[in-house]
Amino acid sequence: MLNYFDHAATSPMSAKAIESYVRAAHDFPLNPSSIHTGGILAHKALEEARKKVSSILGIREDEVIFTSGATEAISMVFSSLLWQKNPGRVLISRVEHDAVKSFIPLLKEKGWDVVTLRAKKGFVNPEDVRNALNENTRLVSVMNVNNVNGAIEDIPAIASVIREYEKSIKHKILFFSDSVQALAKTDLDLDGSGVDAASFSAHKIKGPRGVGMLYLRNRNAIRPLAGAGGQEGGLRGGTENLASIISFASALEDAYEKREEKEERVRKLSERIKESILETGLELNSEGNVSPYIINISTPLPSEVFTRMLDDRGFAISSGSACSNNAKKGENIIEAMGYGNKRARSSVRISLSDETEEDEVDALIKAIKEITRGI
Amino acid sequence: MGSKLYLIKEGEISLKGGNRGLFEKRLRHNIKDKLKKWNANVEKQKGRLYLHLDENADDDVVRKALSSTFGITGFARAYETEKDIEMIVETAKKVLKENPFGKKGSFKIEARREDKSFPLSSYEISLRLADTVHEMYPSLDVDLKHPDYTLHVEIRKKAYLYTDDEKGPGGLPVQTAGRGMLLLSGGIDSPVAAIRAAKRGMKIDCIYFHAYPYTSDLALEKVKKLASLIAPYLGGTRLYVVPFTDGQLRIKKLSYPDETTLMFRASMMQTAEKIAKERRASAIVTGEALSQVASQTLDAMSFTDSMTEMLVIRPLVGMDKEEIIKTAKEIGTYETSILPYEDCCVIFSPKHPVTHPDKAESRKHYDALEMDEEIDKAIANMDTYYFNPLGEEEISEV
Repeated sequence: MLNYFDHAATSPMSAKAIESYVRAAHDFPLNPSSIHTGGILAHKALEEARKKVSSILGIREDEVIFTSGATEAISMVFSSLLWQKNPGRVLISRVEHDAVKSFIPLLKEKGWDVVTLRAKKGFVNPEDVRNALNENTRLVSVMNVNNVNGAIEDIPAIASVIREYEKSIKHKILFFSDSVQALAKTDLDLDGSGVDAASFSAHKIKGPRGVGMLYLRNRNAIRPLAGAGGQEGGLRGGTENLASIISFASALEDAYEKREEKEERVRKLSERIKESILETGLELNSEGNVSPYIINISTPLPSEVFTRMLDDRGFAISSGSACSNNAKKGENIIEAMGYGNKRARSSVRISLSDETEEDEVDALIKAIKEITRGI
Repeated sequence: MGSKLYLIKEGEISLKGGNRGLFEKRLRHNIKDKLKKWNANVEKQKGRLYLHLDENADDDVVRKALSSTFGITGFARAYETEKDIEMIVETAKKVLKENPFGKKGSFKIEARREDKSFPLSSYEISLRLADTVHEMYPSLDVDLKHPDYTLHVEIRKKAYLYTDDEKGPGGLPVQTAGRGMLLLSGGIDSPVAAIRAAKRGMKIDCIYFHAYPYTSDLALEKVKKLASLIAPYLGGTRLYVVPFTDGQLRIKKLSYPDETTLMFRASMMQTAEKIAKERRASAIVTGEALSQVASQTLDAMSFTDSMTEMLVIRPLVGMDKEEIIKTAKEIGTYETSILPYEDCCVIFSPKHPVTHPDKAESRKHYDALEMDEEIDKAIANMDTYYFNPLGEEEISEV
């Protein structure tokens, strides 16, 4: 897809993922829970997909729970807290995705003590985590790669702070990390990073929509949203979306092929965009250890206007905030990162994929310069 | 002639003197125009209009159409029969079968004998019909002062019976009081202003200033939706969409920052006047309320008024926001108005807008902007949409 720079929102399915979907839908049309031959075949295909995913990510097969997407994976973790009889404390970073933040009012309603962690320029300071932990803490939620500006959190450092603190209390603290933008786009080490649970989505890596995954180290840590027929080891009831799961596994396999090489190539493109942004006098809101796939900038125009102007020139990017005098619902993430209200209102996100071409990047830079000159 | 009947009550028109005929003719025309797809025919009898429609006319659409037609104070689905008491009783049974009363409470018969040659008096008619109702609803009591249900019968050229009597919007028929151009924004106020002006008989068309890409096309869609929602009250309306991005940018570039809104409003007045004159309108209507925002102070309004020789009408000038919102909810525009697509982008709104401009001084500033060319260009590139009296978009004949 030409001149598409909104891959953090979704990436079009790859030809391989589509082919894999069609083939799976054709070859395994039956219910994996059925005990007839067709059902057994489907079940086998499901387990093969799980095996593929777990081996690529370096985790155990029973740590993979297929879901309808990241939002469901997140909801499984957070709604488990809502059931608990004795609410405690949860730490949630201020720059989490709405799928996480939307649980804050619910948790508060149920008596949970919700502490939000500041994240300057998108980064949560492990020391702040340390200071906010107390003996009632049950969960810490810090996303892996920020979807708005690409900030890569120091997940291992936060994990070790939590593990260290755990020694002084009697219970485990669940460390959850929404990792949608990290999948296949960073050096993800689930087993070594110390997280207990993480959420993923297939359509951000050219897989199908409507499928994702929860990585869960201890299966007793959460309660299912629905038990139904006991699928996914009883944690996620409902007939499996088999064709999508197989297509997801295939997209993941594809994304991991020469992954580092791809990342390096994208990094060069990303640097090129960033340099020209600064040259043009625009502001960069992606600084420090950030993903090369996501670049957030601020322009002299309201986000929406700049986005429309680029759209008119054939470039698709994402605007975070509305051209509006009225405060948008909730807090703007760029503002929460400490960049100020004005910069937040004029921020836009450019996001790349491993298929983004050099000439597309050059054309984008040219268009940005043209617009900026015209203001 | 069709076989479904509605009885319509006129309000203020019936008090008009010599011009009464004109008002009535217009009202009949407006009703017929709205419901022409069911071959509407409006017949007049003393103090009442009788609307005949095809049997398949959709009652909900008819109700909505009548309750948004100015000049009507009340209406009811009615049943016609011969002036014969036995036939009247039979028709009453039919009316009650189709529009049943409840099982508890009280009722009343409201009989009116305009044709004095009818052999029974109003009282006698009421007694007969009360018997009929009582047979059908033995548990209902008679209450002449505060009945829960009323069966009306009127003896005129024929006998007419009806139960529910719905309220109409009142006012005077649209197009009996000249033509006005409304400055329609995407907000809550201007649709209400349109309704207020139309209520006194003005024919209203709308002007919207579009500043793409500074305002989104969704904002334009929202304004089109608002125009379609108010069109039934306006007896149909045209929407002129003026592409004003270059004009706005010129103002932003050349005017004093605190005067940008004021200058924009001045240019809107100038543009509206030009469009109004071409289309033989004699007034500009705005949704301004005194002191609601910086550009709605007496000084600011006085300045923007000075941009046009035309009469500027502000039907909401003395209304509180709460009152305006209440009306917007009644006419059904509120939910659309509050959709989050701004009609004016934040970059065109100064942080500290001037509230008490000096008329002569601001006029000089405005003249220095030399907006004529931009305005003419914008009018030349204007798009026109037409929404018919049922609120449906039609290809405009411009």
